[in-house]
Amino acid sequence: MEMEIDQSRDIVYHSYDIPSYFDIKWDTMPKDKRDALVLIQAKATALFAKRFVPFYKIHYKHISEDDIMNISSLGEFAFKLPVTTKRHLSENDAFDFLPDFVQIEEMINKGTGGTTGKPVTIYYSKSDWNAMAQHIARSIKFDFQNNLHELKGLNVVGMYHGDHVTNDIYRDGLKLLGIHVSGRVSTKKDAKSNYDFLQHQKPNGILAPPSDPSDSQTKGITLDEFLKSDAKNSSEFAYRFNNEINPKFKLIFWSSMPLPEAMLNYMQNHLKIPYIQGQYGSTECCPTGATCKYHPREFHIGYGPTLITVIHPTEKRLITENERGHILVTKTGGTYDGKNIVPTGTYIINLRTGDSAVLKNINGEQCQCGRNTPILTDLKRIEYVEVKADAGCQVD
Amino acid sequence: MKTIEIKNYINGKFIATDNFNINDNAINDFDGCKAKIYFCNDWDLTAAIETATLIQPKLRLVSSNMLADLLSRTMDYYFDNNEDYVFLSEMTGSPYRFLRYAINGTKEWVKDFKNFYTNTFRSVVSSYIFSSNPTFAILPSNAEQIALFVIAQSIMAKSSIIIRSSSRNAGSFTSMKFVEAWNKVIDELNPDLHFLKKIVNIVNYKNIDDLWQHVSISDWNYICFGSRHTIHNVIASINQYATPRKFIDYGYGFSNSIVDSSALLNLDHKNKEVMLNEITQKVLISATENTGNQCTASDVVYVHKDVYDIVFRSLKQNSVKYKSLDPKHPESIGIVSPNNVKYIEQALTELNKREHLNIGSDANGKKIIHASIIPLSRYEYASEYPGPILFVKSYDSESDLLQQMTKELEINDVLKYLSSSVFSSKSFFNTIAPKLRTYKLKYDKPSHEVNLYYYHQGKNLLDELTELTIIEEKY
Repeated sequence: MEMEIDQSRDIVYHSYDIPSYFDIKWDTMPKDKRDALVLIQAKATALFAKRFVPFYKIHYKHISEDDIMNISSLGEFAFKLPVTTKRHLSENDAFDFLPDFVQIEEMINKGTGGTTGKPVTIYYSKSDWNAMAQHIARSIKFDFQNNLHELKGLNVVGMYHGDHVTNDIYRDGLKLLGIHVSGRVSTKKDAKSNYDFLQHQKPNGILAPPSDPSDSQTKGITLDEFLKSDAKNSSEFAYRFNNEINPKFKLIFWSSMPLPEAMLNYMQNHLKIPYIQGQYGSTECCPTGATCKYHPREFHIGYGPTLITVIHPTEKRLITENERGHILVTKTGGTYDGKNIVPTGTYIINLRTGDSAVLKNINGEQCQCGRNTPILTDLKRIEYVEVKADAGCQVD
Repeated sequence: MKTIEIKNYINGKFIATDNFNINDNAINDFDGCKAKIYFCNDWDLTAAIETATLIQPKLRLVSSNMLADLLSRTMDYYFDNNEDYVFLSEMTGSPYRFLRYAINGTKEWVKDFKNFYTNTFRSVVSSYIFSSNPTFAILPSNAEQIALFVIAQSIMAKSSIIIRSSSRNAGSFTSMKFVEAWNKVIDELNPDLHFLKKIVNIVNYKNIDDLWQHVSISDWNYICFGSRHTIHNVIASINQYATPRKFIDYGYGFSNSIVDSSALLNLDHKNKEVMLNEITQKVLISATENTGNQCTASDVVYVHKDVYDIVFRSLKQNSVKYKSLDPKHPESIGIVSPNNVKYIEQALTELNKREHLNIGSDANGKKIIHASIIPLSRYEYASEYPGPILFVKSYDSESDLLQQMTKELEINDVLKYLSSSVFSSKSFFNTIAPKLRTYKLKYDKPSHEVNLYYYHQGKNLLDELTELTIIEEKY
C-alpha cells in the first residue's frame, strides 16, 4: 500500500480504507493488516507534524520527509523518530505542539494539574476528541456486540473531580452507546456526601478511580470509598451496589490507578457486578487500552486514534512476548465528518509516558473475548515519577 | 498428623485464602492436630460487612421462638465429638476437663434460651422486639466458650454478627463449629430460612491496628473483651470513624477472695482443720482453673492477720496439687502459653517475687508454671496475671481490708472486682457485703464459677443488643 500525502492541510486516511474508530474490526483484523494501517496513520501524523507543528519542525530537523516516508515498520517508527518527553511538554508552550493553522476556539483544553509545579496543557480538537470518544465506546461495544440494546438508557455517574478528562471522555464516549453519563455534582471531598448523592441519583453504574496506595493522588472520590460506604450503609431501603438485591446496578468503570485483585474479587464474586471495565490511558492521549472479561486487570491495546509501542529498555527494538519495556504513545488520529484524519489538536509523537509494562499476546492470537490485540500487563511507573509528583499532575 | 483448617466464613461460605499460618499446636508439642488458619484481606472484611448489613433487615421477620428453637437444636451438633475438645485443648492449653465443663455448661444454657429470654424481658409487659443493628465482636483469648455466649445472644437479639477471634484464633475455631452446626440445623429444619446462614460472619483479620478503620460503622454494636487500657484504645479508635450504637465492654478480669478469721475461729481443732482445708481448696481452684486465666479467677486472697499464718501455710501446702500437666490429664490446670510464661517471669522479677514462682519444665524442656503462692506486704499490690498466680495479703480489720482493696482497684485502674468470694461468718459477710466494690459477690463459693443466667460484669448482653418497641394498649 503506497501512501500519498498531499501538500494541503487536509490529510485524510479514508482513501486507505481505515475503519471508523467505532468499528470493532480494529480489534479483530489480522495483525499484519492492522500494523500496516497503524503505520500509515503514524507516518502521516509525523509528516504532518514536521510540516506544520512548531515543536516538531525543530525536533525533527535532522529527519527528512523521505526518512519518514521510508519507515517500514512500527519498530522503525519508534526508533527513527526522536522521543518526546514529559519535560518537552511541560517546558514548552502548549501552542508549540499545535499545528500552525489551528482554530483555538474550537479546542477542548485538558491540562494536567500543575498545582505544585509546571502544568501541562493538552488541546483536543473536536475531531481528536470525537475519535477518542469513538475509541472508548468501541471497547465497551465489543463486549456487548449482540446485546447493545441493554446499554441504552443507562445512567452512569462519573465520580472524578469536575473537570477531569476521564469524566468528560466517558461522557462523550458512552453517549454513542446510549448511556447517559452525569458528572459528580458535589464539591465536597468526603465519600459520605458523595455517597448520599448516589443514593439520590440511583445510577446504573459508576465511573471512579481505585484508590492510590500512596494516597498522593486526588482524582476524585475513589471506588474503594464508594464500595465501602455501600457495604456499611445499614439503611434498609438504601440503593445498593449488590446486584443480587439491586439488579439495576450493572456497570463499574475504573481507570487511572491499578485495580487490586482483592477488590476485583469483591466486585465480581461478592457484589456480582455484571460488567466491570478498566481503561488504561493518559491525559495526553486519553484511552489506550481496555480490560476484557478474561483479563480483568490487564489491558488490550486499543488501536485507532492512539498508537502504543513498547520498546526494550536498553536495546533498539520493540519488546517481544512477555518482555518488559517502556511505553511510547502517539496520537494518530481524529475523525471529522465521517472521515479519519490526522490529529488537529496537541501533537504527541513517541511520548515516553514513564510507564513500563510487560506485553503479552504480541503475535495476534485471539483472546477468549474475541480480540486479537496485544495485552499490556503488570504496568509500573518507572520514569518521571518524581517529575509527576513534583508537578502534581495526573498520573495515569 | 491431621490438619484442621480454620477458614473465614463470609456471606454464607467458608473462605480459604492464600495468606495462612500453620500453628503446629500453639501451646505445646502434643500429638494431635495442626491448625491451619486462613487470614482475610480488607475486601473480605468489606464483604462480611456488606453481608451483615444486608441480612440485618431480614432478621426482623424471624420470630424469637423460631430462633430459640434453632439455637436449641444447634446445640445437638455443636462440639458433639470428642476430637473437637481434644483439638481445642491442645491448641489453647486449656484443660480438656475444663473445656468440656465450660462448653457443655454454655450449651445447656443456650438450649434453655427461651427461659433466659423470658427472664431477661420479664419486666416488659408488652413489646415488639425487633432487630437492632449488626454487631462486631472481638473474642477474648482466654475463654473459648465465649464464642457461643456472644453468638447465641446476638442471634436471639436479631443482630447479625461479625466475629474476629483473638490472636490465638481458637475463637475462630469455636465460632466455625457453631456455624457448621447452625447450618446443619437450618438445612434439616427449615431450608427456606437459608438466609440465616449468613447471620454470622467470621473474619480472621490479622492486623488489629488496621482493623478499626474498616469496621468502625455508625450505629453498629461493638463487643470487646480486654483491659480498661485496651477498651479505652478501642473506643478511641472507633470514635475516630463512627459513632456506635452500643459499645459493650467486658473488661479486666480482676477478682479476689477474702478469708476472715470468723470463718475459722470458735471451731474445735478437727473442724478447724476441715474448714481450713475446704477454704484453701476453694481459693486455690478459683485461682488456677483453666491456667488461672479465667476472668473470674481469684488473683489475690486477703486473709485476716489472726489466721494468716495457718491459711498461708495451707495454701502453700495444697498448691502442689495444682500442676501444669498435659491438658488432657484429668488433674491438669492447663498449660500457660510460652508468651505468658515469659511475661509472668519478667513481671515477678521486677516485683522481686521471682523466687515464689513455681516454675518447672515439661518433657521437652519448655518452661511451665504450676500454681504459685506469692505473699505481698500491705504496701505491695496485686494485679492480674495470665497464669495460676495467687497473691496473698493480710489485713488487720474491716476498714483496713476495704482501704487496701480500694487502693488495689485504683492501682489496677478498675472500678470493681469482677468477682469476690468471702469466706467468713454470716454476720461478717452481711456487714461487709454492702461495702465491697464488686460485680459479683459470692459467699463460701469459689470466685471463678460463672452462672450464665446472671448479669456478667453488670451487663446482660442479650438486653444490650436488643431493640424494643413498647406497645401500650387501651385498658
